Amino acid sequence: MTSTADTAQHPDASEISDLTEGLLSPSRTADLHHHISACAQCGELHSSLEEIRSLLGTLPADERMPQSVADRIDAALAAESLAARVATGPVSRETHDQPLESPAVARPAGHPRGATGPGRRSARRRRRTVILGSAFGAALVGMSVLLLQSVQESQHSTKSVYDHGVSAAEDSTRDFSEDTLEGRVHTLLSKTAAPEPPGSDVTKPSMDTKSSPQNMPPEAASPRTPLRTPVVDVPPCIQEGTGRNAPALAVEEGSYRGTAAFLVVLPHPTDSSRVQAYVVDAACAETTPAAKGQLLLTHSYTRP
Amino acid sequence: MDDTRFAETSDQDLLAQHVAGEPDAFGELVRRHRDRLWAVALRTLGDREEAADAVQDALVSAFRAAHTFRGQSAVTTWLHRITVNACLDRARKAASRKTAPVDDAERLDQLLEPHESAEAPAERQDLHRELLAAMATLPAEQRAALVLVDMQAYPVAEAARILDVPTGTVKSRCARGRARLLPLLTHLRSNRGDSEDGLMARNRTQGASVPPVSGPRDAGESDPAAVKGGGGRA
Repeated sequence: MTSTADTAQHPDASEISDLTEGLLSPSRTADLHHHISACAQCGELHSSLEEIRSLLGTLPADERMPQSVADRIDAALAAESLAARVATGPVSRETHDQPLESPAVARPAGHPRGATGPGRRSARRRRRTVILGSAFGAALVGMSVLLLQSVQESQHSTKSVYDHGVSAAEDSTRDFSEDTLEGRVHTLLSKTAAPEPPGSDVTKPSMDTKSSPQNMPPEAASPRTPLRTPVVDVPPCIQEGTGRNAPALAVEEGSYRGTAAFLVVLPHPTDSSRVQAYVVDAACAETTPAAKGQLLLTHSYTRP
Repeated sequence: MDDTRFAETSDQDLLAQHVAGEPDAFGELVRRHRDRLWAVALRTLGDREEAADAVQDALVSAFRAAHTFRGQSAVTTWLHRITVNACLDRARKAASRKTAPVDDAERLDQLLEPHESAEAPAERQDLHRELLAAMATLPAEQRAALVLVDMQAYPVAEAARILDVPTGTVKSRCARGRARLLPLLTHLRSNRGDSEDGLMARNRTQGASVPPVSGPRDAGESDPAAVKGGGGRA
């Protein structure tokens, strides 16, 4: 419909609303402006839409997350973190101490979750808290089972990917990419680990992953060190880029998306059956003072 | 917890450190962003319990999926996207259950607390309550767009990144959403005749302004009739 100032041909409200967002064609926009300036009703509609917009902006919106909700979320994340460690279960007896020494989130272990506090209002909420509380333990068990399963699954799936990865990696050596990284990591590790008797890297690494990462990085004095000697040298700024100071299992220079980069393989911080690969921008190695290398890519893989 | 330890660590580095196994990094990320995520979730869902569940689900997902973050957007955008998606999932489920999330006075009151409980004039509280009730009747996608852009004042481009749609789509959802809230405004004006005479005069937009021959306009005005009921439907 072509619009004129004829008030018998009113645009509908959503079209006027579209007009205010600049969504209409230039000619339609001109037509509507013409109409609105002449038609009192549509002019009011137009200003009412503006009023709606500003009304929405006046709703109190600066509210902080209630402490009870924040506590509850922290607890859920702590459980998540715990479950992730429990999933590495057979690895270490001392894993159990870990959450006490270094809870993953900022709340004391064992603090009752959200059972008190200003946020509680209704019976509904209270009931929910109880249910949540009792579900909590069950969820923990369930989660660890799930995680165990998924670890196994991913070991399965990475196996086939690994086969691809190696062949692909052999072609495009030293060009790190998400697709070929796993192959590179495994190739590197198998080179480094060559002198190791087969099977030793499955059992021995279970010795670490314990002590609190906060006090002393577990890898710093890691019993894994003798396992993978010699420990390779990593430029300090590259090491910083990984955010950790564990001795590297393997390191290699190459490129990532055209940028010179280092591939650094570290033990996985919590799961001794896995390694964590970091691709860090190599640019920092040339700059003085050395800045922290930029982390370009990181991923964890099962140990070969 | 020593809050200063991460003071100079960027969001992205925190996430990388979390992936690398730093046990406190993710908690710090949560502390930085939870208030904004909460505000978005609360406005989008209109229910404190639902919002708490949504934010919790979202942050747990983010915790697990941190290694998939590729740095193509800011960490805060990524967290918002996960949160809004969790909210939209819940909103759709609530809609399919036919339970209107915001339909009782108690929950609306909760939504306005603690900010307004005592300080704001009663009239303003009524206005906000009606507005929230009307918001609850909008399709979830429109509501999310209005929450981000009109309520929380995120730039349209940022809202588009969060919602993972083109900016034009965000604008369109906002425009349609506002248009659907129009009947609310006229309804409020007829109730608040005491305060503003100018508004009174404009009440006729509700009835008389529907031009008899205008098809599209009719659709715009008649459809949200339920809105005036103040959230009686999902």
